[in-house]
Amino acid sequence: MAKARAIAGRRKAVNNIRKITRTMQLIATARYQQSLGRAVGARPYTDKITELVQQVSQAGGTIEHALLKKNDSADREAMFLITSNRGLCGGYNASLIRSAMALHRSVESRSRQCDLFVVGKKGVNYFKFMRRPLKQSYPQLKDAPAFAAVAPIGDSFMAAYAAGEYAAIHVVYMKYITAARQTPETIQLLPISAEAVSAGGSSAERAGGGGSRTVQYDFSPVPAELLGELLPLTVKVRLFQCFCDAAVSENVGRMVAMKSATDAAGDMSKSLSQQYNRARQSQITMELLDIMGGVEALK
Amino acid sequence: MADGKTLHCSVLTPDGQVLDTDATFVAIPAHDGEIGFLMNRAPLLCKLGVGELRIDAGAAGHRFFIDGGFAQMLDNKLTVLTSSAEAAANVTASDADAALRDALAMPGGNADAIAARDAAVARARARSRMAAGR
Repeated sequence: MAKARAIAGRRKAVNNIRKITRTMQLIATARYQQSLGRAVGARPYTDKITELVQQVSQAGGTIEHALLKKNDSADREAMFLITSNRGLCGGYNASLIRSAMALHRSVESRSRQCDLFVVGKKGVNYFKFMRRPLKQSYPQLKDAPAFAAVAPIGDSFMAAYAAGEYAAIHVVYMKYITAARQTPETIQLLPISAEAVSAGGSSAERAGGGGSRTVQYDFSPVPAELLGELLPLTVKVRLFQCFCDAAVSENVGRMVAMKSATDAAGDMSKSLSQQYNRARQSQITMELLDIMGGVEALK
Repeated sequence: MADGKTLHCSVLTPDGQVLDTDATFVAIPAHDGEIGFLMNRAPLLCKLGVGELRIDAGAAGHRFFIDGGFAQMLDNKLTVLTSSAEAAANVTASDADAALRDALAMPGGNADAIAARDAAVARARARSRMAAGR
């Protein structure tokens, strides 16, 4: 009976794991809904801010702002990487770290130093393992990141950029495209690219309602001053959108990973059941043969 | 609304849309004073200050406390973008007075600290005005 009992034990273990992964999948689904709601809720605000910047810059003529100016003389660039605190979410962290390292190499090829700012334990531990010093690490934000929590991070980056410390500030995060598709994305947070400001890009067309035509606005205060207020906000808003996308992507990643783990555990449990039945059957047959043999011997 | 003399007003925050309604009259706290909107107002883009946002939507009225942001009026649509919009019901006189006391007690060692204190005082005063006006 030894073999059959061992198989039964394994089957029990697999079933327990299946229960756990199934629960984790359900939790990830609930969190995904929450973070998706947040990301979708933030969209109208972020779109509108982008539209306003374009309209103000149209009226403002030539724009000069510390966040638009290139800091080419600076000898370092900053990378802001958003990873997760926990694993078991498929290739989420691995692919983010791969993109981050690609960016790191390209910064070094420009013979600049790359300062690392990392969110989430997974990224922090990776760079600790690689013995690369982090400039700063942040705890991961919740599933529904609050704008108020993201804003100070944006403020500190803008202050550093305006002070001429960095030639560029990049963000690496997981962009959420659809529930089935997320890709690691690298965006340049600062300096703000000219396309983002000047109207006529695809985002202006998407914004509609006046993005492409010129409207004579009453501006209060004057456009240049208004832009001075709006540009820092666009930076914060973009960063916020990155955090929202990252939260959604992480939960989708975990959901998918846990679903396949549950399915695999189900398949394994099924095949273990078959093995167990076969082992039990052959054991019974053996015992019967033994008895028959005994009976024959006594005759 | 029966007479059709309305404008569309929406209030957006990073946390989502707070309000989306037709209104007969809207008053926003601009950075340099209050601005009132009726239908077909000329296009306007302005910075907001601290204060009360009043929306008169027929029988129903909405009041929010807002602290900075932007407003855009275009094609009879008013969009108010603000970091947070707090419903008037949540603004109480006692809280506002406590906030004012705290604000006045803030240190004013340098220009930044003084600016921060002035902003906090203005915010608290706007809240207490709003609570008193109810």
